[in-house]
Amino acid sequence: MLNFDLVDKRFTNRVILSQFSYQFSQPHYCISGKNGIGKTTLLLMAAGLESPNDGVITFNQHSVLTINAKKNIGISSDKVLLPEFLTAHQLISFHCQQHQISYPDYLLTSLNFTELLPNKVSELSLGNNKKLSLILALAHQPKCLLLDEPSTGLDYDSRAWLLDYLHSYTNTSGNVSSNNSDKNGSQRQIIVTSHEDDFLQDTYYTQLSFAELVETNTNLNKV
Amino acid sequence: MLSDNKKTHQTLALNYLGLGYLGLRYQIYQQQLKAMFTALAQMLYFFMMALYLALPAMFLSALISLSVIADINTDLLERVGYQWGYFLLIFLLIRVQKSAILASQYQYFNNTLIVANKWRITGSIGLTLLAGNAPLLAPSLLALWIPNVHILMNQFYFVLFAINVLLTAFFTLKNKSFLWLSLFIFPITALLLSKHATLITPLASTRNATLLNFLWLAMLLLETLFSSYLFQLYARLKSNFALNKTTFSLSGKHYWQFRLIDIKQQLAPNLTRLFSLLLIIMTVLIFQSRMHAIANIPIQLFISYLFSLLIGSYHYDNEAFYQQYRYYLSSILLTPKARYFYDNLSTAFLALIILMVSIGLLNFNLWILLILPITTAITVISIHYFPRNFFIAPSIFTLSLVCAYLYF
Repeated sequence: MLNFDLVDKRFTNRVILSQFSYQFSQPHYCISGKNGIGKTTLLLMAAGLESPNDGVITFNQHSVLTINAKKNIGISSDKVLLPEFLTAHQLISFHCQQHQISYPDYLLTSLNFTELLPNKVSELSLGNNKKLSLILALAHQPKCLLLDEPSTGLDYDSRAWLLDYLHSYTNTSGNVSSNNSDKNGSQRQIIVTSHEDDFLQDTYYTQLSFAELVETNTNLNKV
Repeated sequence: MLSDNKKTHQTLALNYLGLGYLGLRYQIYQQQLKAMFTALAQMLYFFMMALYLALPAMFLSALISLSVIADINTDLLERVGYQWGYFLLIFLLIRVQKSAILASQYQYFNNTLIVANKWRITGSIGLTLLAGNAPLLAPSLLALWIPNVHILMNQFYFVLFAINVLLTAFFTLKNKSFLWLSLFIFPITALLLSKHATLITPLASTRNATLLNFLWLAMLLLETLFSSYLFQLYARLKSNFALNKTTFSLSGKHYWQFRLIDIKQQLAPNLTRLFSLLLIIMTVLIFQSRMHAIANIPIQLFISYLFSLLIGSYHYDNEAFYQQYRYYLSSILLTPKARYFYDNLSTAFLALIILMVSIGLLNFNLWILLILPITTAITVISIHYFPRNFFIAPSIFTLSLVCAYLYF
């Protein structure tokens, strides 16, 4: 489970989190909130891509900054600028080689991405860039899946497929994987940030408002 | 009459548009160069400071090499070397400014403009001449200076050389890839063959020089005729190879390839670096050959220091790369130490080539085998910790070595 423990995050002129503690114990979350409030920063910190100024963030008791934890985390966000000088195929191959997994043909077919493999990342449209980012996040079947506005820019078919896929992602009986829990029995977890009704109206997700989440889980007495 | 007036007005309007277009192209060229130099500011700023007087001399050395090329008594081996160096300089000079000359970044916008093709071509030619400057124009001007037909016949090899210089610039703009045939395969073959060529009379020398330049011209034309086919074939092979390769075994094995692709596309800093290295090598070569002597140890140390700064400055690109893709690089499963190791492989490779050139071509002392890598490592570390004052530590190190040499 993803756990934030007394986390501080400040940028030059604003505070995003102050002494924030929260344990994400449910398998599915959807975090909503105003633009620029800090949802993406929260996901980037959860993925270990942005370091907190103070406090610790762990996934299954491992700091998310360690390589062991990163193996179990997948993130898709527009903030994660992908190397635009590579072709989509080169980037996916590199990802597969890093995680020592086979080529994600199923994802490529499902998202109608196969034909775009020889294209450079810089040549991809907004929607196709999003698809590539999702493929990279999902390819290694991470136990902690962090998706920043995943349906934005996707075409109708891809969006429908993604919603279905995410529903089955944490199910043992789903066609995603026969093994949804690790050797210690810990479950897969999905945290999504979104403004779209696809996720906001979906009862499958535990709905969280970022502002409320921060307000109720900030321990200012300890400052 | 009225119709004639209308036509004149239309022509004038189009010419006015055309002239405005040339101004726009010039502004784009300037803006692109400014952006490129901003990226290289740190490195260039130091070189401007340190080599304030030496820089014009270095540029002049390219022109001085023309005197060696124009001299009929230059032996064939030396001629091939100098001409190859000169063509490479022209290639680098134009290649580094190619996108600025062609306004590639604004190509869609450029295509929307209603200007006649002649103005587009004029713009490109004008900017190429501006970008190539003295090294591009000097051979043609010298060739035009030939006063009569008799001398023209004797100096015909130089006319061919001047044409080759212009064509190298033109094909650098036109071709997508490096001019492998005319700037690599042919000169190497010519170097190997010229070792066995016998030069007995000036007549034989003229004949050889003319034949050499004629063959070089043929290679340039051949390459351009077939480059599109070769490029298509290469692209097809590359894409087939890439698509069939789906699984990998060792972790971290391919990060250097990943970086290599980026390096290949970071043309401006890499070509500027190569251009500067080539210029230094040519300057040393010319001075050594004219003075019939090998540079003494303090000068060797100074040159090795310049090499180290140029090679080590590659770390600026690494830092810029980390900054640009910081989130993505944080997400991959390589430790920063491993990344630094892979990223400095190219620095090591470049240092190795320069070492080979220094010892094999410039006849430097073997101490350079130790000193150049150390100075380069100091430069890399300095750039990492003190990016603004990166030159202080390598300067102190080199000065200490010079002092130690002079004292002992």
